[in-house]
Amino acid sequence: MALDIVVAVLLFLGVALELACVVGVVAMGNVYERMHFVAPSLLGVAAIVVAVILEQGSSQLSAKAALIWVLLAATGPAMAHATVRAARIREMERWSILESEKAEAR
Amino acid sequence: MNGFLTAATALLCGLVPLGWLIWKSSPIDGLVAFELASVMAVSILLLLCQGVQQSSFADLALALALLSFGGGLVFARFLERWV
Repeated sequence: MALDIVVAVLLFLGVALELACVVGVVAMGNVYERMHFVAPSLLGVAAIVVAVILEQGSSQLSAKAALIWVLLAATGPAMAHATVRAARIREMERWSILESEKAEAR
Repeated sequence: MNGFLTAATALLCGLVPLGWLIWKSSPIDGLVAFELASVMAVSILLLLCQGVQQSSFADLALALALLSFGGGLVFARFLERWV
């Protein structure tokens, strides 16, 4: 009974987090702001994965669910970097910072 | 209908605004929406596989998690200069 409640709460948290990320991505004005709402969705996936593991116990599905989360967590930062790099190159025609911009920053 | 299927249905509804964003906005904004949609699709497949008690369906979620990364990188590379 207690386990069912924990699973339900985790599912609710996971779904609410992911839907909040959707609202953030849709509401923001540019690609850099939108990118801030992609990474937190992994927390939602984590809650869902923990709910599945609690429901299943030690099983093949639990192992696959954990592996899926590890994969998403490992590839997410690389994907975010590639996306922002593409956005900056489209906008400014280059990725690197010019010497003149470094001087301005100082 | 158990809690897992309900959660999967709720997440499916969340894909609609992302599809609208991909359709209406610039390609690079669409790529961000695509990334979030991939993460949500993986969650949906995982929830469905627990909801219908078919553990073999988790392979689909695993494959999607792997392939969406490759696909996203290819999109990002092409969006840098050529698209």
